[in-house]
Amino acid sequence: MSFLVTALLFGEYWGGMLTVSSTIILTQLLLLRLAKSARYMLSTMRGAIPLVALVFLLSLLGVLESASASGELLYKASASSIRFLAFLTSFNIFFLTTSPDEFGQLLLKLRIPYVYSFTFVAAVRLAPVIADEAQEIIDAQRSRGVEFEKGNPLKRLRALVGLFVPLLINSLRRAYEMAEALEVKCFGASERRTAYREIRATRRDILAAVMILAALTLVLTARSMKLFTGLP
Amino acid sequence: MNLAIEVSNLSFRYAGAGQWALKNISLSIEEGEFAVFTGATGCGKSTLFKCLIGLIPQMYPGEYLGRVVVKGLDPAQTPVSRMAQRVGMVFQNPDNQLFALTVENDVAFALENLGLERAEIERRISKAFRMMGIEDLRKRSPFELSGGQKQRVAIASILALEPEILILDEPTSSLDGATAKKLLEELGEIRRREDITVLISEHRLDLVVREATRLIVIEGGQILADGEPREVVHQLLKDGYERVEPPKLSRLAWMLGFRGANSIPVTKEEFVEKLQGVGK
Amino acid sequence: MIRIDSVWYEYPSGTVALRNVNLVIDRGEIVALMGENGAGKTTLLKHLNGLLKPTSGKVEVDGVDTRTTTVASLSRHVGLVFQNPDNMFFCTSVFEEVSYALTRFGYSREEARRRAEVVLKTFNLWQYRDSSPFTLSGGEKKRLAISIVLAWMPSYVVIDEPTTGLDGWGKRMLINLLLNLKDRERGIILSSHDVEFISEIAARVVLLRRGEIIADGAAEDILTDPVLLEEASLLTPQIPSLLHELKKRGFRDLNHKCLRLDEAVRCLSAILGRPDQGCDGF
Repeated sequence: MSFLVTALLFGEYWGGMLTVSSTIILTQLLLLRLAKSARYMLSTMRGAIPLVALVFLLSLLGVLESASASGELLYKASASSIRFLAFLTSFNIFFLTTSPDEFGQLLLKLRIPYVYSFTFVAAVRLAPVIADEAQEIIDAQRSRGVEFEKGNPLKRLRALVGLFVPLLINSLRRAYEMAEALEVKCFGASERRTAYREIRATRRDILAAVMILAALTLVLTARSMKLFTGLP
Repeated sequence: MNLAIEVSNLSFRYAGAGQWALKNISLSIEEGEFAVFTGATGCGKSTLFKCLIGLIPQMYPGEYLGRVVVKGLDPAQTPVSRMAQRVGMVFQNPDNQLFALTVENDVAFALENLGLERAEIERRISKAFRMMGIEDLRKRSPFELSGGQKQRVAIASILALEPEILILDEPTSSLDGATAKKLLEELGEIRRREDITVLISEHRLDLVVREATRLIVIEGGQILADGEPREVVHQLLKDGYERVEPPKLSRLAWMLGFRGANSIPVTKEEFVEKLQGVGK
Repeated sequence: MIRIDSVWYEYPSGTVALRNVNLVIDRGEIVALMGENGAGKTTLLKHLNGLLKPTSGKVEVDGVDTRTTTVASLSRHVGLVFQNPDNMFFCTSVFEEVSYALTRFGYSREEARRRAEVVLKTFNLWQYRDSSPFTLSGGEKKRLAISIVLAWMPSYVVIDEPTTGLDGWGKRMLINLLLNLKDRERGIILSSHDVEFISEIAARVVLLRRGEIIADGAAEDILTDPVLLEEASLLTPQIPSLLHELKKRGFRDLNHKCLRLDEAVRCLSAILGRPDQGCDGF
């Protein structure tokens, strides 16, 4: 559960320095050992390698113009790629470790009204359903001669109408159907909703939280002591 | 016998629509029946079902005439969440009625909404899991289930409310024949064992005729035929009605000349008996 | 001719949906791919117009490898109708919905108009030509989806679950239409688990189970074999199921390979020792 906090904190924390980002990634790797899913996580990150490379290249190009010393140049580029990587891994950890159900419960514990946490859970749940449906629609349109990747921008835009109109209409229908189902499942019937399964912090969660706090303190003190002055 | 449902002269037109979706429907259903509603898509079956639980006119406004009484309650006036504790409703597409990310939480969902104690939730969902034979799916995610399994979860989540009437709107339309047949047989079994009244819409009559105590044909918002399944099948054949298909066996019997209103076979066993009486 | 040659298909998620599928489909033939949900029917259909390319093996349409051409150009020859019509419609009127693809395929405005009119009349939808497709009923939507594809008269007509949403009348109309197309030398490929419907068109039946073909033959051989059907998790159609039961109960010399109603009437009238009668009920 507390991985979520990690992710959110790291997401918030735009330290932006090589050292900071590396600390983040290191902490995350430690956390992953805790969750015993390091290998799985790394395998899901493989797809990100080209992206990180792209960021590296782009920032290299970006700073080229200022034509500063090559050492600093390389440093800056690596800093931004690692920062990007840290960002990616944070989100990745969040989605890999936190079931939206549990996240919904956390929101409840934070006294956020159930309607909001339910909306969040429903949105996450629907994402794959809508993605599948979009693929079906694209396939159906391609089968009647629509070409999504061909022609001038105007033509492509017209082709997209064939995707968005059915998607929109299906979504409206789905919204009604879900609303009906919620009604017959007594949604909002009681002021005090019970939770069948409640989440509790386990020892591992607490350990993770301590590690995150330690990493955070380290970074913050370093920063306040201006240990990295002179570095971007 | 007590009436579970009584509908008198019900007409309904959705707000903004030109045509009446239901036209002067009168219908009464006794407790413990297994009533099968059939008719082409868009004939008004779903609209009628929505009137029985109060979604119409509460969620869908429109012109509403006539009167409906369900278990002594008026669905037009009673909050849907109160109706839902007496009348469970399962819809066609399971994807749009499952909300949690584990099967277990999904079946508990309605009970949580009612604010029941955890022990009570546990008791009810365990029973619902047993009834639908899906104990082994408890910890799974509804996404990874097959269509038939999803529909079972959807039904269990409604059975957990312990309704006295169970309404199922085309629950098998996305299922293949073998899966659908098994599910329908089990629903018949549940009706007998738990003493629940079941209303279901289904167009594959051959799959459901064994369980049905009642067959109601709807077309264009009106009741075209209503009665004991054999009578209705006979009437469909006699009138040469094309839209609803009677079981193929009944049609075969009709073509062979077995045309008695009280004796036309509707199942394989009845057909065999019939031929053994005549042939050889 | 469509030639499917040792095709394996694995989805990016890692699910293997087709395992070594071999199939040759000729023009003038009706082929029904049958099997339970998830057996791989739709995945196979999507290979026919190149929406999916085999992971290994190959698919050829009239000698053209689907990997060497585009979906748009294949679709002219292989018209694929999807199961859910709601995923298709986006035009403001029924008429435009049909003429849209025709203009995409390069027909002149006039020719597109003429074809759209013919096909909409055939499907009894002409009266709705100016209505929005979204106002149609379930059965009408299904008919519209099929007419959109038939409008350009592809050499192969592929329909995924043709009977969902159709009432008795719609099904009978579709049967006549498919038989007519067959006579006009079109290849027709259906995917279905509706054993009763397939029984009536006497097609060639290909049984799929978990991505593999487990049987391929005439409908009257396959759909009358309860053991085989059980293996594919399909129900035995009502008529052969009745005939099997009768055979078990002493009517030994019954021909159990009857599928269609008229055949069953003929064969049962014979054992009842009376002339074929009462066909007016049909």
